[in-house]
Amino acid sequence: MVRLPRRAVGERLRRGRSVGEVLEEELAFARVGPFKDGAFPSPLHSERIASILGVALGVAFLTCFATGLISHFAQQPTDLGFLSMPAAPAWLFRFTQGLHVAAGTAAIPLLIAKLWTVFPKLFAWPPVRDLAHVVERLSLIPLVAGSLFMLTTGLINTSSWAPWTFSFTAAHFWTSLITIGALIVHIGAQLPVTRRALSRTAARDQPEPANVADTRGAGLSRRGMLISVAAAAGVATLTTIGQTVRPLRELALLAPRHPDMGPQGIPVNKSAVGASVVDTAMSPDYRLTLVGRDGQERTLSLEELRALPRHEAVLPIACVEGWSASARWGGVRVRDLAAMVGGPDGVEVMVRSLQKGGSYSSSQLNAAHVRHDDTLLALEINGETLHIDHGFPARLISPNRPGVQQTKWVTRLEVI
Amino acid sequence: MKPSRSRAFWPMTIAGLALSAYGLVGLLGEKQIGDLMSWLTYFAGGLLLHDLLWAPLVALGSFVLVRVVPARVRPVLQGALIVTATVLLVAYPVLNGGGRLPDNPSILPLDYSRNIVIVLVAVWAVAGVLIVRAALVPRR
Repeated sequence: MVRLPRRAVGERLRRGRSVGEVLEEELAFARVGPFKDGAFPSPLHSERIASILGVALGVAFLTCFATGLISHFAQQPTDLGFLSMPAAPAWLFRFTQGLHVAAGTAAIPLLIAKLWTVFPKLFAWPPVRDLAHVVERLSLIPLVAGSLFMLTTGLINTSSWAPWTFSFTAAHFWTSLITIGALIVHIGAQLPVTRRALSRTAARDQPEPANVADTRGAGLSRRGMLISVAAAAGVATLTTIGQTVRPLRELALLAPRHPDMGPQGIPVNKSAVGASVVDTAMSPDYRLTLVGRDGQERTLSLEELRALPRHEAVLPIACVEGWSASARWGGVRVRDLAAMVGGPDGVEVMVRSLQKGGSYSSSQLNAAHVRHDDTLLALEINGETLHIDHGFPARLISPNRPGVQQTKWVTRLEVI
Repeated sequence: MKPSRSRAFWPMTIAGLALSAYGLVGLLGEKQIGDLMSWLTYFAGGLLLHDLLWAPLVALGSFVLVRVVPARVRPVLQGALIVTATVLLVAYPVLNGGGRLPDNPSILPLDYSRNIVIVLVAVWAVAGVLIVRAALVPRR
């Protein structure tokens, strides 16, 4: 661009230039630094790479969104009719939440690479063309801010760290809606670009330079960049996914949990000390209270509880933070306990902990879970008496439920 | 190049904005949300950190790298840097150890400072082999 000496706006207007022309000229003078043509010389700032990364990110984000909604609804009150969590298959929650965290982790290098690829577009010229372009560009603010927020807070939360003062679960849920909404706008706007960039003709029309290494300023080829980003996602996944995929546990060098590490070889989210239940849980006065629909109560000591018909179930503890570990649990069926206070088939049960306060001091079992053979008030883990951090004297264990709803230190079962 | 708008543009824009608006209203009306300023710090902070710090730093790094590193080893070096940056970002929370609790050793049970060294040594060992190969293969 040749720069001519710049005349004052008023002078140019007096010389008969239209306001539009002068405005365009003024805008052109403002085009400096990253706004200039050629400010970003790398051939990797291409529509094709942006499109490939965009599609991969879209798949990762929608996977996170769907699995996140499963967890959200699993933790809602149970009377949602056909939307209630089923009790089978037992592995479903473990699978979806492991996938949620793995997809989010793998999305980190994808997002950073994608933002790098499209960064020059931030300085597009002219800044806006029409109303559609304004809307499209403004929606990038919630899209980028939301994407970074979701991946950052999700990652940090998997390490049980909360450097913020908002509620993680509430913020992660509502911000996901903001982000996915902005993503829908973005997909609508970029569909033609993506379709064009990924078509076969596009690959033929913009072939990769034959010898990339010899072109000045070049480094990674397009394929090389995609391979590197895939390798980055692969390393991030391999070094963390062993927290839920047990055969890969020895590779999980950077995972916040190890599926074999914890009291009795199983990880713990909330310790007895953390829940302030040490004294009440160890007390010889411990009693389990069963409450029927009609208000009748029955109390059982630990000895009486141990004397009831004992059943075993192999079930995972699966946490929304992406770890899971299986154990063989022994204890009394919850439906048998409900029947002791006249609870017929099809009832729901409220499970209450010795823990005072906190949103996880109680949980509700829906009818499908109460009815299931494997839903136990567990007294043992892998043949041993429960460690106090696993909920001694008695804890709930039930298939396909979030770990936080496997209530520990259970003191009361109410048939509802 | 002016992209043509697909027919899906306005329907998807309206649907997407509606979902975003629902999310924002839900967030602001959520009783258990806690400190909204803290939320805003993280929401806007990520965007600002990326655009004002990370992106310019990467651009500066690339500028230097292209001028300092010979072209034949550059691709492998860039690839190894992409993997390294990712590993460091993903490992940051466990390295920081902010989630550790004295009463619960099953949270962050591993020696992450040692493990990050192992992972990065492995990444750069692979990169080293590829760099040597790139330097030895005769130019076409």
